[in-house]
Amino acid sequence: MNPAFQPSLISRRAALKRSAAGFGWLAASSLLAEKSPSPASAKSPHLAPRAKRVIFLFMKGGPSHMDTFDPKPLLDRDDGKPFPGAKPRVQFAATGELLKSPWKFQNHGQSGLPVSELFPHVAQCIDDLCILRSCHGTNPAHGGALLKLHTGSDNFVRPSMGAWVNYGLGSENQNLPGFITICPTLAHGGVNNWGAAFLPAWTQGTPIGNAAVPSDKALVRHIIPRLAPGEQRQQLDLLAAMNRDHLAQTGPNQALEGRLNSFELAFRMQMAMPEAQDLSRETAATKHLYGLDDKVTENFGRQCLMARRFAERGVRFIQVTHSDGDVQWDQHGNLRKGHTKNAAEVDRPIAGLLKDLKARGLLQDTLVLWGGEFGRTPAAQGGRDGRDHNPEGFTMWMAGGGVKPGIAYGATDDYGWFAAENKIHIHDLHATLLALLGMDHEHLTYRHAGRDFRLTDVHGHVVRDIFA
Amino acid sequence: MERGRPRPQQTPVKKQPLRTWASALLVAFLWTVSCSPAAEAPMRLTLENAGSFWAFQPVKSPGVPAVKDAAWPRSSVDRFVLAKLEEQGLKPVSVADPRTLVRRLHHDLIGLPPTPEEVEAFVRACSSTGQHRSPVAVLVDKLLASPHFGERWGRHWLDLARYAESNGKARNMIWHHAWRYRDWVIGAFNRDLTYDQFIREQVAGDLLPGSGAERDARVVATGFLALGAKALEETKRELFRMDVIDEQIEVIGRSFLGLSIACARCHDHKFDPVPTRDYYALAGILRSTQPLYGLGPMGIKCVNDSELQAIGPDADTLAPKAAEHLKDLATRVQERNDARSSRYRIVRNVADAKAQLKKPGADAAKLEADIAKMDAVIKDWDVKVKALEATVSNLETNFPPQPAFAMAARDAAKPEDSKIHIRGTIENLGEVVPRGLPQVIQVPGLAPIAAGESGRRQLADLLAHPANPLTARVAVNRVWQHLFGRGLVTTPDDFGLNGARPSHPELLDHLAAQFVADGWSTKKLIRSLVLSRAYQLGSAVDAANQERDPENVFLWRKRPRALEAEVFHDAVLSVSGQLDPRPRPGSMTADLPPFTAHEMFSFKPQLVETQMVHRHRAVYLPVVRGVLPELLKLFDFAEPSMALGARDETVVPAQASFLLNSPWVLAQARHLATVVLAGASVDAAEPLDKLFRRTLSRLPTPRERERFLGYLVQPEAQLTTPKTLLSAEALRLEQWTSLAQVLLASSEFRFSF
Repeated sequence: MNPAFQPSLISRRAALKRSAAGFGWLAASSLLAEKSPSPASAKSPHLAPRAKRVIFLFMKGGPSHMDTFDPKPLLDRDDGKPFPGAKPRVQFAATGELLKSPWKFQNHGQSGLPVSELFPHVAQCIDDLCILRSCHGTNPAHGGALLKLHTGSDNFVRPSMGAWVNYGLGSENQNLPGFITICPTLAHGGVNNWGAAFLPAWTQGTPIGNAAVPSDKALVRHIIPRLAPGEQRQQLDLLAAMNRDHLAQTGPNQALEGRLNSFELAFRMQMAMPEAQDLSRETAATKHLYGLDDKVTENFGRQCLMARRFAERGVRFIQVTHSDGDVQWDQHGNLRKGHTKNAAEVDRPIAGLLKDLKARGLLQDTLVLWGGEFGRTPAAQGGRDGRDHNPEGFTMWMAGGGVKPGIAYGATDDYGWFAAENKIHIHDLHATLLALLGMDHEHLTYRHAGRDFRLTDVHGHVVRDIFA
Repeated sequence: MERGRPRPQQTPVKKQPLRTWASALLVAFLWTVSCSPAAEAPMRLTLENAGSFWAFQPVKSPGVPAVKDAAWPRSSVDRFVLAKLEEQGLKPVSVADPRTLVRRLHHDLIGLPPTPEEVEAFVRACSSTGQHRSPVAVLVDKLLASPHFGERWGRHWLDLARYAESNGKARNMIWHHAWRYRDWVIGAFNRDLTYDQFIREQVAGDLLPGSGAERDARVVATGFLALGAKALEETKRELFRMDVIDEQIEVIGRSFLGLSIACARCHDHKFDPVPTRDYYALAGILRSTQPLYGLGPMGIKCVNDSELQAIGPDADTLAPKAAEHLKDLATRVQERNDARSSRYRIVRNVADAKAQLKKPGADAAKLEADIAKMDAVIKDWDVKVKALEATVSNLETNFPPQPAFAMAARDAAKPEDSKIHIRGTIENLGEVVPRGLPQVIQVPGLAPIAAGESGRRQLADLLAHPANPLTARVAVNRVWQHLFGRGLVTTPDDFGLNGARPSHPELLDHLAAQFVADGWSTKKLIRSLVLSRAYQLGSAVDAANQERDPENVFLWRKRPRALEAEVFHDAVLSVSGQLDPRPRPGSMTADLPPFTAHEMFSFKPQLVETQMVHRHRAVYLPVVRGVLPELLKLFDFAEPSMALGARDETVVPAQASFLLNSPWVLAQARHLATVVLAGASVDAAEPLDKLFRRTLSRLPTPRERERFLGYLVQPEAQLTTPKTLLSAEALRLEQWTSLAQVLLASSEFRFSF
């Protein structure tokens, strides 16, 4: 450890805040440490970690749960009738009568869980999924709901869950950031969805491209060296010598030392990042598995395959966003066409990722999370071929990372409008995710503006029932 | 800069997991007992015991302390500093050399580096003796009088005012007129508007006497109350209103008082003496005030629109028509969108019916008849939609003459008191609280709030009152922090129980008292601080001092610190010769078409980062929430959604990547190389000297000279572009560009020492 980070010289947080050695450093001296100099870091491992990393497959716009993983026979029966219950007081827009799912469901695997025909490949992995059918949030608009899901708050600028995970665990790889987000959307909260807010800056997500950029063109900003390696090395040596001379003159200064390291890290990242993103050495079989050989699945498949490569390299939190430049899964109208297209783009890549992780023994300590910012209403919109936003009840699923495989947990009402049984609020989802990683959401805190902040604010219950 | 309060070290409880409020309470207590045994601060401040806490006690005028080394102090500030140093057994390092000092003063006072000529002139002046006035004083007066002073110091305030040119949040509307507030702040610092008046104009400028341009400027100042990020799509109007008020209370509390009053929205403040009642007394004042920020998203129902304030000589004649036009446009856009949706609904039904037709056993005759009927309706809609589209487009392109607009605040037509919102919710209302001011701050001579007024005037008077124990202390602490790199109170926005205690309480009070006595003049305060010996110390580390006081709490040396993003940006442009030192009129956001893109702004940002580049000073770059100019975001610009008195100082690899590989840095390095090579002989010594003088205000050391010249003769094999492909001249420029880049990326350039 850099001697400048000795707690006696400077508080641990101050060191973290300024330090380029943030990557991995926390993991070394981290919340598992017996003695930590600040109350914000007094986090003991209350739970044995079940997962070491997260891959979050984010379906932007809100996929419809009753058309994918939460079949509703009563919806079929009552197609075209009014919703018999009370609709939510706050709705995004007016909705019409009930709309049955245009897709058929079939039971799959040993578990016999139903999946709609939209996801034939994911259905093959059903025995690995832990389907959470009772998720609910609070905000019916994309912006608020995205922020709620990513940061726990739709009102304030707060650290994203990836930043919290990165803060708590650090990266296992010295040459890569601990939180990477592949092709994130720039709309609906944009950067705040992977930002660090008041957490140390190194915890923020490093974006690779954005939703409007094809994944084979997606790059980290300024990662392409301006100079050939030899020449840049010499330039960096010149810079380092100068900075070192200067440091010797001014005396110990950990910001200046951190700066020296940061150039080396940036230099190493220039090599590590393209290496991690380079899929050319993957076998044809692997590429096929992820759908890289098909125009429809190629783009998202590449994102998923990159995610696996980052997971292998010790990145803690990897987000993969499925969205075009707009709001991909937002079928107020054109549900049939839109959801068919969207599912077709992601189905094979997701199944490929799950199978690949499993085959490589990575699934057991990688938590895969799938879902959108909300679900959709059972009532129709857009000339009976669309559904509205529905934060009151929707489905997300997990796989791997210490969750029970092949189960469906919780339930929405008979029509799928409201979460009804074993409800999982977004805060609960966050608490559970942290718990799976070995962190107690009540103790993963950060002191800011006079109080200790948490990902879950003052809420959150860990859903232990889904722990394997 | 370390934010947050100091933490107790080496206390046994730290192994315990602590929880939010409870932990803060415990920590506050432990800090009190472990670190300031003399202070007997209670665990929670109430109106009854607040007087026992330093920050709520009246500012004292402590006597200037005696010191052993009478030759050291140049001013009373120095005597306070030296007394503490002597008490701690610390010996201050010697004064910085003139080259360091001239850079420091330039960076700190105007945010621009000195030119090589300015450096040499200053060095010469310092070495010649028998002058009428000290060269430092001459320089300081010159810098304080520069129009760049306001651009530097105004920006500090803009951090606290959470200044932005867009709404942020989900509906990130562009605010085309916010820049007027920015320019008002810059102007206020340049003309040294007294700080008490600076407060009054922002809180109640519209209520102050005045007319014409003076009045307009004061109205613009109230934009302070309108600049918060708002949840424009909130459908509960009452919740929206209370959220806006909460944000205003938070910003007022943190920026002027260093007090987080907004904590009292849901319950009495857990630490500081602010009962919920006081919160709602203030909320009443702000309920009786209308923030003016303009329209929300057009074309979807927005219940939270407001007007803008028309200003200028032709405001009265032009404003009504302009407002009417805008309202008309909003209505028509809504109608157009509704018509489009209605039409689309039928289009879907036709598609449905056609699908039905294909199914076996379909009632073809009926379906076909339906389709024909619907097709006819669609045609009707086509006509309506087209007509509305034409109307909208006509309205969008033919605006009547526009007055100048500003974001501002004004009194509501009818003042109203607020009810207590139990647990902060709008559903559960308690008793009505009359409009009023926080009770913990008692000052003499305030007029009572009359039935017909909001009470903002009284609020402004309270905030700006010389007897207010917080205002002057908070203000001088901020100035101190910007000059010394760390406040006497290290939590500049929190002077409450949870905040840090002052390291030099007597000095803080001395400065606060002097500030008020000097008529709240920020320039006088800055002048007195930078002319002190304490400010002019070198930044060298002394091992014995470092051992005793590693954090330099007692000011035995100058604390080196990174240039803020804006200063760095301006320094790069300045040394590359690319800076346009003139203010950029208006803003990039003001240049955007004002209304056409308003509908769903957040879905597609109107300005992207790559557009946010210009050659003016960074203070004039657009501040779009969530889409900040890259350099600002990367180098710790203050998050523009909250009042922030101390920025982070981070070091992350993304900054290094930016310095190594960004086209902007490369372009500036190339400009810089071009400048130093201009007119130079083939000899490399001359451009190297120029390069160092321009960037670091000094000549290269022999070692540096050797290394830099060595870079110019590197092996052919490792060159990025083979020599054969470049002319000798082009190769030279490429190599010098790399050398220039090294200097721009160097710690010495990036930091102020």
